[in-house]
Amino acid sequence: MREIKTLGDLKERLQAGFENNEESLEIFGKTYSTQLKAYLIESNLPLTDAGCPEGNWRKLDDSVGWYGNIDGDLSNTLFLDSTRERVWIIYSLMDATESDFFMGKWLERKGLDRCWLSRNHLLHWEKKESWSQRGLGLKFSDGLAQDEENAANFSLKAYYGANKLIKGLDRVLNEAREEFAIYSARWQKRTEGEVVLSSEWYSNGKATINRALDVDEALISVAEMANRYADSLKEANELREKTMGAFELDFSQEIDLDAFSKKVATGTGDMKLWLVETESEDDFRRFRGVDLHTWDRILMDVGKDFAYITVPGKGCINAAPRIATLQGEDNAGKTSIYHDGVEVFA
Amino acid sequence: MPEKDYRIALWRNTIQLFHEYKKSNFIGPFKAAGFNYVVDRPFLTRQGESRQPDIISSGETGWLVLELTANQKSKEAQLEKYKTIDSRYLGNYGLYPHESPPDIICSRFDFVDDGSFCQIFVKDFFDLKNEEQIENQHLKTELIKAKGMGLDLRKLPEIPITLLPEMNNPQEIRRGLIEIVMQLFAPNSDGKTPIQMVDEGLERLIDKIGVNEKHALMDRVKFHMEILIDNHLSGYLEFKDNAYRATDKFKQHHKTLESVASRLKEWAGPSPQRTLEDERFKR
Repeated sequence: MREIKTLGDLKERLQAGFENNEESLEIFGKTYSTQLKAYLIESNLPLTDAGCPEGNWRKLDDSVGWYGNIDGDLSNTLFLDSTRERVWIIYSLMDATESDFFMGKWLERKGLDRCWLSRNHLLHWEKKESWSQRGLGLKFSDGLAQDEENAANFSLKAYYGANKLIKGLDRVLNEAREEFAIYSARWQKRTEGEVVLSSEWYSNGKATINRALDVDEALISVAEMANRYADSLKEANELREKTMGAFELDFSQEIDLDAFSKKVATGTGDMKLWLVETESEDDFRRFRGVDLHTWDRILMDVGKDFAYITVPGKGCINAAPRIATLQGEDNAGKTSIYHDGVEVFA
Repeated sequence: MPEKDYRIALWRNTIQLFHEYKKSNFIGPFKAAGFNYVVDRPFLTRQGESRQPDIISSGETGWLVLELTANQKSKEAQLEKYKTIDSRYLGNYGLYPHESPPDIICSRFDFVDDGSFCQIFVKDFFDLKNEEQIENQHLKTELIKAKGMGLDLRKLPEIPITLLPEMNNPQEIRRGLIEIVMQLFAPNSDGKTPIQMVDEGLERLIDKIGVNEKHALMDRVKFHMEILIDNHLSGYLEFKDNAYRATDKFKQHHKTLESVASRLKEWAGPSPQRTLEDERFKR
C-alpha cells in the first residue's frame, strides 16, 4: 500500500476502500475491504504526552492537526484528527479486533478517556432529513448480581428490516429501548433512493462506517458527533465551574443499594468506581471515593433509581457521561443526565 | 448511621436551595425565585470597605446576601455590615444588577437570636423566621411556600467542598479527607503534603481562609492523618518527606482496595469510644 503522507492521500485511500466495498457489494452481496472505524477520544493531554496507540505520530503534510502513525508494525493504519482541543478522532484501517486492542491499551493512559455517548447522542440523526435508523443494540449486564448464575443479563441487537417480517417486533423494540441502555445505533442516509452513508455508533464513542459513497460526507458525519460531544463537555464544565449543583442520573431500573455498596468498595466491575459509604439509609446512600479511570475524586449520592455525581476540584467532568453510560449498561437501565432539571450530554 | 456532618450539611443544604433535582421533585426556593449565586467573592461598600459574605445572589426581582453559620453567637452585627454592600459590583460576577439594597438572610441549623434579620433553618426540613424582613415579594413568596410544604433537605447531593475552616468535629474532618486519602493509592502518585490536602478539601473556598486559620485546619488534618496511619492503615500509608504516600507494600488488588475502604470507613465513621487525643481537637 502506498504510504499516506498527506490528508489528500488519506482521503484517496478511504475513497478507494469505500468504492471497492460498493463494487463487491454489488457483485457478491457483501463487502471485503476493512471498514473504516472511528474512535472519539476525550483528551486532557498535549499530543506529545498522549503518544500514539501504535508507533509514533507524523504530521500529514497538507493539513493542520492531522497525523498518521509510522514506525510501528502496523504503520499507515491510524490517523488522528486533533483539530479540536478536547475531543480527538482516531480513524483506523486495522481490523476491528486489532484496532480495539490497541485503542484499549492506549486509553489506559492517565488523561485520556473515551467519549461516552448518551442515548440522545446515539439517536442524534433520528429527526434529520434523509436519515433513518437501521438497527439498535440494547444491554443490561446485571453487574450488581451476587453471582453469574443468578444474573438477569439482557442484550439485544436488532437490525431493522426484520420488523417488517416479524409481527410485533416494533412494539417489543420500543418498549425495550425505554427500559434498557442503548449501546449501539445503526444509521443510514439515503439520497434519491440510494444509500450514501451507513454507520453504526457505539456508546463507548466508537463508530464503524459500513458504507459510504463520498469520503468527505463520511468524515463530516463523524466530526459532527465529535463537535456535539465537545459542546456537551464545554457546557458541563461551565456548569461545574459556575455552580455547586450536582449532575443527576435518573435510571429506569431500581438498583440494589447493598449490592452497589459492596461492589464499589472493592473497585471492581465495569463502573470502575472505588468508593467508601459514609451515610446509609434504606433508600439512600452517600459515597466518597475515586473514579479508577482517572483517579479523580468523586462524591456520589445514590438512591434506588437515581444518583447524584459531584466532581470536586479539577476532576474531569467526562466522569458524568462515563458513569451514566457504564452504570446504565451494567445495572441501571435507561439513564439520563440532568443538571438543574435540564438534560445535559444530550 | 454516622452522625451528620454538621457544618458541611449546613453548606450543602443551603447551596442546594439554589438548585433543582428532577427525580425527588426538589426545587429550592432560591432556584424557584430565579436567583443565581456566587460563593465567597469580594465586594466593597460605597465607602470602599471590603465585605465578603458567604453567598451573594441575584435574580431579576432583587438581590440577596446570605451568611451561613454554625456559630452559637448572634451574627446580628455582622449581618448589619452587609447592608451597605454596593450593588454595582454584582455585574462583576455576571449577576443581575440592581440599585436597591439587598435582602439579608442568615442560614443556620438551629435557632440563635440574630436580631430582626430573616433566618432560614436547613437541618432536615426547611424552616423560616422573620420573613417579613424580606423586601423582595417574589422571593418571600417562594420562601414561605418552601416552609409551608416542609421542604425535605435530607437527601440532597453533596457539594464539592469537603473541608471548612471552622471544622472541629473529628468525624467531620475525617470524612472530608476520605477520597483525598484514597487518591494517594493511585499508581505513580507523588503523595500529598498536609497543605495540599487542606487546599483540595477547601476547593473553591481556598481563598476564604486566612493563613492562621489554614494552619490551624492543617494541624487538625495532620492529627487525624496520624491516627489513620498509626491505627488503621499502618503498613499501607506513611508520612515521609512532608508528604503522605502509599507504602511499597500497597499493591492494587480488589481485596486490598476493599480492606483500605473498610478501614477508612472505620476511621471516619462514629467511633464508639473517643480517645483522649480525639477529644483534644473536639470543641
